[in-house]
Amino acid sequence: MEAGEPMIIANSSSDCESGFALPSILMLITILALVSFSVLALQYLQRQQARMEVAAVKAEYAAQSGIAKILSVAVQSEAERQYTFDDGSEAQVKIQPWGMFALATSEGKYKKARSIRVALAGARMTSEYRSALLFGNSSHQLVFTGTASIKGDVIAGEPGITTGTMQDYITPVRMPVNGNIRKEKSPTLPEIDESQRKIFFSFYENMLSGTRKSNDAQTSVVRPAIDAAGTFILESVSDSVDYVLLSGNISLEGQLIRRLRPLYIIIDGNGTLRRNTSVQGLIAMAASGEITVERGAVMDDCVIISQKSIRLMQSATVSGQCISPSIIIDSGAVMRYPSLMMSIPAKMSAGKGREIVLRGDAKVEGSIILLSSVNAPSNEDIITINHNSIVTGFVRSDNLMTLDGNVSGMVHAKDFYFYRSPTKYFGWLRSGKIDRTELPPGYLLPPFLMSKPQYEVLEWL
Amino acid sequence: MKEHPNMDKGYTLIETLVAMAIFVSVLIPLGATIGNFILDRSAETMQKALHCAETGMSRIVAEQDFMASRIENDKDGFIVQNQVDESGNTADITVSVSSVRRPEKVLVTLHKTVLVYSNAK
Repeated sequence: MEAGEPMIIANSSSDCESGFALPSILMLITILALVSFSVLALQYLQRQQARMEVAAVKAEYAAQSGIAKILSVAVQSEAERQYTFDDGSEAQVKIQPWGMFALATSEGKYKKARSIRVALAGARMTSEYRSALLFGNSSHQLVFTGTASIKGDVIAGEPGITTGTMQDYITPVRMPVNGNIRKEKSPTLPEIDESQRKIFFSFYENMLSGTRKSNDAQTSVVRPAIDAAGTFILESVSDSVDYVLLSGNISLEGQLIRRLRPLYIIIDGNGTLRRNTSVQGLIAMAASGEITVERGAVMDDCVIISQKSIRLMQSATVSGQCISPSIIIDSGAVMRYPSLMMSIPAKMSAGKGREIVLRGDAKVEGSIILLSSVNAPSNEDIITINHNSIVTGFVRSDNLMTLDGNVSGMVHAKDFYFYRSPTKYFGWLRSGKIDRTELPPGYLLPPFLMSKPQYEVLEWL
Repeated sequence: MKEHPNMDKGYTLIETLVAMAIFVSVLIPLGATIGNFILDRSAETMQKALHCAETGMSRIVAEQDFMASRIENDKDGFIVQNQVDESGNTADITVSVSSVRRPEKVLVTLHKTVLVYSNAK
């Protein structure tokens, strides 16, 4: 640069700003495009979400409808059906015995949506179950003494009913029956449908023999090793297992829940559900020996079967089915609806009398059933409901019943009995109370009690 | 000689016009699209229709209200049509919901089969 020549200072920053409009507009367009794309995507997802919600509801309704459909037809055995509905949904339904009730599993489908519902089904009461008491001994009177009373209709033999005097008990001044009394020449307990009985007893027999589904290649059977103390931890059973086979005297501990796939635990020996053990859902346990449910143990919807005896200790809480020759419910134990206590067929308990005993303030919500054997029932076969025990539901004894507690529901008894030294009293009630009016209207019975059961959902699992 | 840097140099007129033209040409259709989607509440409408159908179905089942066919106007601006077909021990219930604005277009149809025993009616 020469002297006197003006100095030119380059302005690089102003050069950079030149022509920035196009990039800035392109950037703005890009941002707006992203925004619009996001809005479009959001709208699309919202629509998809709405469609999925509709499909999920349709699948759910299809699953429920499938169960209603299969229960509406008389179920003769295990069955599978497929139903298609007007809205395009469909259901694949399976029904099988679950203890003395029926278990229906339904998978509803609509497009890609799936819904599985499982329901336990019982039978609606027929007119045979309208009375408070059916007294089945036609050869002698039904005698009331003490505080015994009945609210509801009574069916008795031709000798009818009367009041009696017994030492230490007040004699009723009038007949303590608030309802109609009907005399029949030969009052008989409702017939049990043999085909239904076979279907449901097959569950019991197959459980004990361990042959249920044994021919099914997909059945998963495990024989876990047991420690020296004989403790089996329930959490060790994976969801894919169908059968657990155990030998010896086993203590079961821990928690286990099955909602869809039934689990069968077969014990060759005695089984004990230890304190604070919790077993919920489709779990059936059968033992060749005794089964004890310790205090604090909880069972929901389960089936327990023993060839010898079942005992529910104080504070045990069970909602399920107990099937055994001898069932003892200790004072403080509770069986919640829908529960069932049932004596097993005589051939499974040969040589021994059968008994169902409610001690102290035991509570049962459900059915208590002692069926006669094919041959004449043993004189030892008896249901005993002690003074403070409460039953809400149905009690049936094809032989004897000592009823000193309260029944909110119905009683069918071949005969009443108690022993007061030195006398055996037959046909007497001294403190038992039966109130048919307190039975909830939707109460359901085990289907095998009916010749043509009208099924209804007992419980959604 | 002291020279001030030309820091205030702006866009040329042509650049600005071009930028505005591009901006307006993109913004108008884009804004219209976005506005259209924001105002279009079809998903929300379908969810409301579903809720309406579920409520109708629950009411029919709970009240065992098996009138053969009935059309009702919902307070949310829906037309609810109930159809019940009884056969044997079951009742097939169909609830269809459409908008008052477009009654011919059914938004949601639900079907349910329930057990109905004659002695319980």
